[in-house]
Amino acid sequence: MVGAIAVLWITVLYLVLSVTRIDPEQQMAQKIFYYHVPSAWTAGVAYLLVMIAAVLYLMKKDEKFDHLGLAAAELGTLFCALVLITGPIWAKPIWGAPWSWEPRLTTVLIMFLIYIGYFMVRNFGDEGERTRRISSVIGIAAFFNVPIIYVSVKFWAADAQLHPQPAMGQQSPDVFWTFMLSLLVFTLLFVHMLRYRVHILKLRSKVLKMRYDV
Amino acid sequence: MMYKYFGFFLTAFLVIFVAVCGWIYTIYRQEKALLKELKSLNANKSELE
Repeated sequence: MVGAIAVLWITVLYLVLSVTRIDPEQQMAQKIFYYHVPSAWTAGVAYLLVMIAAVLYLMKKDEKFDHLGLAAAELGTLFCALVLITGPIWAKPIWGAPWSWEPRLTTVLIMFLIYIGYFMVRNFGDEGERTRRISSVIGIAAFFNVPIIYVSVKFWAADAQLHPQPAMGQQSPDVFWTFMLSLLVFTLLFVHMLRYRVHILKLRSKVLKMRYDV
Repeated sequence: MMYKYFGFFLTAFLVIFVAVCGWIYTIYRQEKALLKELKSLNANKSELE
């Protein structure tokens, strides 16, 4: 799987640099979009998984759902951080400033900060059931921000918006298919990273139990 | 031909690339450390038995 992801990653880079059209105004800065939006998509999928795993953990009290939730939360926050870094890199030349307190940027930042809270609970709490339950509740509550982020570009008044409106349907085939391939690469990368992280969490849990036994 | 704002694109690309590779490398190091500890715990357990 790693080899296939690497090949697809290089293919996307080739398509982004050589095949997709150059925006006359934004020039190369526009191409950040092929990495920025899939990062946001991956973060959204990860946070959806956190919510599903949290519900299943609260219902079944099975450690595997806690591992899945924690791994997805870590990856969601990694990709959310990448969104918050690559966004300002694009905004600096286009808006003239790296940050603006407009709806989408603010709601993404709120999401990131909620998950900082999630990790504070995980790290300052013990390894026990109570910490897992509290973090599961945070994981469920935090997910309600994801649809707010999605609709934020339409929900608030147009004069409060700076973020580009979604218009993938109107794009030329080279832009559209490169973007779709990039989405696929990020999704596969996320699945691979998630499986690897869950495997490590299981291993860690096994080591902790053995430490206690020995 | 070098287009305008290439440096911004390159920075964003490298940030993502380094973050993903760095994350995978960190998890790989964790895996190695955990497997080493598991091996030594298994050895201790066998000695005790």
